[in-house]
Amino acid sequence: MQSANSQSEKLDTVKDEFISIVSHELRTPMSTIKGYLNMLLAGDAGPVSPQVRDILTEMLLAIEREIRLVNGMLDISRLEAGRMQFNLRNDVDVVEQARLLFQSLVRAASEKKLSLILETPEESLPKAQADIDKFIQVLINLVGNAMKFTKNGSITISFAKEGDFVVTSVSDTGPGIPKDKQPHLFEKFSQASTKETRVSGGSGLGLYISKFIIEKMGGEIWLAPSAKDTGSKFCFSLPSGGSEKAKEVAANLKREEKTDE
Amino acid sequence: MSKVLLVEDDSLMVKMYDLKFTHDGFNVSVALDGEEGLQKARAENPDIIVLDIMLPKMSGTEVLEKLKEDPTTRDKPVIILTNLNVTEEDVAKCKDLGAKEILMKTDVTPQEVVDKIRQYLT
Repeated sequence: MQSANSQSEKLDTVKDEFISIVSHELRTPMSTIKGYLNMLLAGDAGPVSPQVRDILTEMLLAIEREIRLVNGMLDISRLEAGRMQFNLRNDVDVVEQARLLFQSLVRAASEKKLSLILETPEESLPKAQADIDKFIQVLINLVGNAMKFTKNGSITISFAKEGDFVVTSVSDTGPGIPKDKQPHLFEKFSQASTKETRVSGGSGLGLYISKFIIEKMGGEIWLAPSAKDTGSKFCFSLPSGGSEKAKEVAANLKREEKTDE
Repeated sequence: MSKVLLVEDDSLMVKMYDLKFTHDGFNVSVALDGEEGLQKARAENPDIIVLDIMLPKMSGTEVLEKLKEDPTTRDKPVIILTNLNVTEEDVAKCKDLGAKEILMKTDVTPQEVVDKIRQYLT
């Protein structure tokens, strides 16, 4: 049993290293293609006709999607091999973190003529235990998704306390998610088989990664039930700092790091 | 004319940034590994250094460390330009060591790199 375990760990390491090297090797030429396309579009190599500009823009969108896909796969390989590091803090003010992020999100939303609302809770919330960068990554993923699928209206970020957890929610006025798609939302490449992926340019990895990250930090992520055609609302919870759950998660992560060494 | 020292081992990247920096009026010097980067930083008196992290012979973090130890290169602004594969510790270490900026190659356009260079030259 012992040796079977170490065999499978070895295999994980090999797989992890392989993906890491492959994605680095993929990324360098992709960055070069992206860089040159940007230079051409900026007119660095001379004037560009409108037709050529359209083609270059399409190429740029394609390479950006490819880059997102490779980055997502690297994230997944790290997560699945247990090699993603979590710098947990037990005094994270999620409202404040969202506020700090708000300006850049507002800019992106207004480009798509959407309004973005940050609903600050009436009572003060307990601090959460989380890795701040990971919290931001998940929030960006959810707001980004909402922006992709919402044609007009607004996106709202709100907060609530639920028992020993702090819940952050992102709701939108988009088309909502069809019932038959809902069970597979958090699976890898869940968008891949649908037509939406071509419209949205998503990799189909974002929600899977977000779920993984949130669960590692002791929380849950879910789609809130909503009436037909009223948009969608995604929520995720994080244990409040100092709670039993928070302590348990911190101890687990520490133990995993130790066995890693 | 301001002089940029580009420390980068990938020939595709070197060619692109060389083209862009030269196009935008910089004098460009290239080093293909960490040791050469350090040596050129000391010998050629560049105005700014654009440094990769994953480099042969000596990593970018080590180069940065040595640049900051040496009084002749200590005050030169350094911009780290890397791919995402580096660890979070590497990035944190570069910040601690006084890199002005840490840019991800896949996230920035060549123009944005030039804009950052101009920002730290003034």
